[in-house]
Amino acid sequence: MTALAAGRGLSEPGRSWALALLYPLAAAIVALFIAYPVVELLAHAAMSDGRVSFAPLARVLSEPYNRQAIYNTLLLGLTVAVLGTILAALYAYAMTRVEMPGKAVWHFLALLPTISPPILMALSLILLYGRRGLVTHELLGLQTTALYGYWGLVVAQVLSYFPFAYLLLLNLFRGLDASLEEAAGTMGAHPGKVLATVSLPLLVPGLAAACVLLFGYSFADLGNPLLLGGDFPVLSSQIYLAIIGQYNIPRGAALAILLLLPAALLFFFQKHLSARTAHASVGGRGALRHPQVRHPAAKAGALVVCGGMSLVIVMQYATVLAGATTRIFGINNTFTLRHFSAVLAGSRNALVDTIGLGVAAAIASAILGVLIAYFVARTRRFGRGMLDFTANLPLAIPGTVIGLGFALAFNHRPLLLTGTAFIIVAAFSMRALPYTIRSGVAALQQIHPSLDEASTNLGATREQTLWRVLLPLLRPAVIAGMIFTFTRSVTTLSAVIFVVSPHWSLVTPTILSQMDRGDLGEAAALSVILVVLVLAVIHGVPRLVGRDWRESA
Amino acid sequence: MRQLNRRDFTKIVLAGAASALPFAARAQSGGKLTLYMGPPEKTCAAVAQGFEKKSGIKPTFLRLSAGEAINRIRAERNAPQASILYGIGLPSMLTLKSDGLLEPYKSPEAAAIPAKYKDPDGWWTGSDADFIGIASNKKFLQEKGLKAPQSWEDLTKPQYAGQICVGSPATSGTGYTFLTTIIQLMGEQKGWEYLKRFNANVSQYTRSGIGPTQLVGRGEVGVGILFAHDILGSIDKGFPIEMSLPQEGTGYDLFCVVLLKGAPEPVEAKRFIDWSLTPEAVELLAASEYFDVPTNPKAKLHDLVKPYQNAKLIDYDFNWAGSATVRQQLIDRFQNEILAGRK
Repeated sequence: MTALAAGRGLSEPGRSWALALLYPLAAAIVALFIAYPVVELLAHAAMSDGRVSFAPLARVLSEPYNRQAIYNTLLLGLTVAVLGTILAALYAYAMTRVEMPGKAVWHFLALLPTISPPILMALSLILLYGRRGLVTHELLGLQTTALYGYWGLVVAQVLSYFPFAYLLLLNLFRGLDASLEEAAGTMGAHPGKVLATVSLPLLVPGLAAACVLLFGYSFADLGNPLLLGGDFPVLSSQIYLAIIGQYNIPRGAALAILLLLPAALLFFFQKHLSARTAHASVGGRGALRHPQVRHPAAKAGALVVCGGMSLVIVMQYATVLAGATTRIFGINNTFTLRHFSAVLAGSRNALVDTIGLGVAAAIASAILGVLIAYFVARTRRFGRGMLDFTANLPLAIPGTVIGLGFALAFNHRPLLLTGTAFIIVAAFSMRALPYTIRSGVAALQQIHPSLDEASTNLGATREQTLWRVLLPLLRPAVIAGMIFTFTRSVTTLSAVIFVVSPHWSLVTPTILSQMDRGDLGEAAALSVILVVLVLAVIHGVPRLVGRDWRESA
Repeated sequence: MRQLNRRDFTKIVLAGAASALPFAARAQSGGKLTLYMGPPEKTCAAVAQGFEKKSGIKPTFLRLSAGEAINRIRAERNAPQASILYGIGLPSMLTLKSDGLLEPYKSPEAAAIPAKYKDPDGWWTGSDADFIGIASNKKFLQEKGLKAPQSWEDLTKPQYAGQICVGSPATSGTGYTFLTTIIQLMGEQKGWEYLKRFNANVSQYTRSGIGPTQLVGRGEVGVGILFAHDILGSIDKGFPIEMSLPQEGTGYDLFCVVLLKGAPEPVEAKRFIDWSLTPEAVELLAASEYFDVPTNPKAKLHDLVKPYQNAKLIDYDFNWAGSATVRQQLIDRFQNEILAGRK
């Protein structure tokens, strides 16, 4: 009895000094690498001559070209949101409610775009539909620049980002309480009426959330607007051009703020919607299996949607592969591996650096994510709400804005990180942190606190409990977080374009510059290597995880 | 499925940390030189290799466009990462100089270079020069029964509607040189009027200055406005391209080598500047298919370049074009008056 009492005494929060030290440390890291760069960016945008001033913002807004960019950004985002949501809803509906063959294949193909850099879409679209594209020029004999601009961007972004909306809606469709529909059916409503009066109203918040999600992705995309933008300027590419073309940092920062504000608003709106979606499906999960529609017309329709969309996606990847293995795609289709050898000779450093830094980021993000998840879910420390909020901010901040904030914040003493590997690892891991935290929190919530208590009662300190009891149980979540961080890191362009340096080159900016030079073959070869690498990590790091990491995204 | 235990996890973390160590060590210097370079990758590699062979110093370079280079060097003001900026046009170098980001160095090798190609105080030294030319796809000319454009005015003719490509002045050095050439040649008012008429024929303003080479080479557009080295490079590769020069006179740029302020490897950097101005070094440019005119009169001219050595050049005002305010004004006006109207 006395021993037990002593043990409890040891485990009082005040005595667990390691965690007591780690808490402020984690908070400091989050403040330094998430809050501070945003503040620095705001300072650059809203200060002139050392005083707070809205002059840079006003000047940016007064220019017709920038106003056009703002309008275009909204127009593009809206189109992508609506089109993408419709497609994703149809796809998800077909997958959950219609009996059809090949579901595993459709699911795999629909998710393929989530693991490739978005510029891959631009690359294959140029190869297929560009001025010298296989379809437009060789098959149809057209010489058109129609791809470059609004429509090209719509297609590229819908293809790149619809899978995220699909996943969101897939979970929603699965989670809807089947008994409600069944009850309506039993009371005599025909299926159409059930859909209109029961299912759809339940789905509205989810559909809205998918729209907002897609809107946010479209907003943040940099690669596609740079490559396919043509005469269609959008905000993210204007930020890049203000900085790279005009050397004008205050203007770039002001434009970044214009991009950040709506993105942040959208994020909180989406969070609000997701909370409502959660209510809609409470109690429904797994309660009843949804009846599968077997009507031939519905099956055919579902196959057309899933098959058609999958075909388009397969075409994209096949084109990139073809572009990588032919001398000049569409002009000289002789098989060759020279693009691969050129890439392995010329861009080996970029590949090695990208992998090394991606792994480092995965480790950093996993450690920090687990710690913060623990503090948020298991402790009542002062300011943990604030910590949770700040650590989740990167979800709301477009990559270009994070990258620019990093470049501005860490180029002077005492935080001189420009040109180091550290700044890249930090940018990578901070962007992925919300996901690792979220999967950590979700996992912790499934572990009953009585386990902690049992461990504590047996005399373990809180550190020991975390290390010996919780961590082994959290393993799947930790690994999922690491895989996510790695994938996200090696495929991002927007977050790193301002922080790469001669000693640390990365794959995505290399692909961009290869495309600029017109070396489409090398760009395609490097993209293929990157996609294969990520696929190997996702499927090769064996299925230690019970679920796909993307489903938590 | 094997359970991964705590010890395994520790091992993974340690292994990850250990694998990161060699990366961390790589950033240090010692008989090394870090350069930012503007020419195409292949030329950068040839120059870097040539220097390594000659000096034994290990160079690391990053290829950047003029804008990327300036932005980066400004951002690194407090911790310069590179010692040398090489092969970027003079206007950008003047921008850096006015920002106080350069260090003067009068190389003994610069003595051989004519005065107009170097700064008297050694802030910058031009290693090679190049002018703006007009590249026409031969098949396009044949099909349309046209002669290659002989003047800036020719480019506004209806035959070229939708057939012209040039780098955007907002993002490419080529585009900016084109824009400033037109304004200097025709004056403020007439120049902008010309640009509007010219714009009506433009298919696309590409993001990088070299972008139109491929487009013209493959016949995606008929005519491109490019630096001559890019045009000659494509001709050398066998693309069906013809180069012509505008009879009103054309603008040019002087590609310089500069020592960056606070260079981490000053000794190696000076050795590089000395070497980069020698005939042996500038001849590497043409050897790697980058056909510029060397400023060093002792260097041999490549056969492809010879016919153009007496090209009619305007007296390009670098101080005007290189001023940050002028650049900002011109690009703003270009975006708001020319680009904003395009659909």
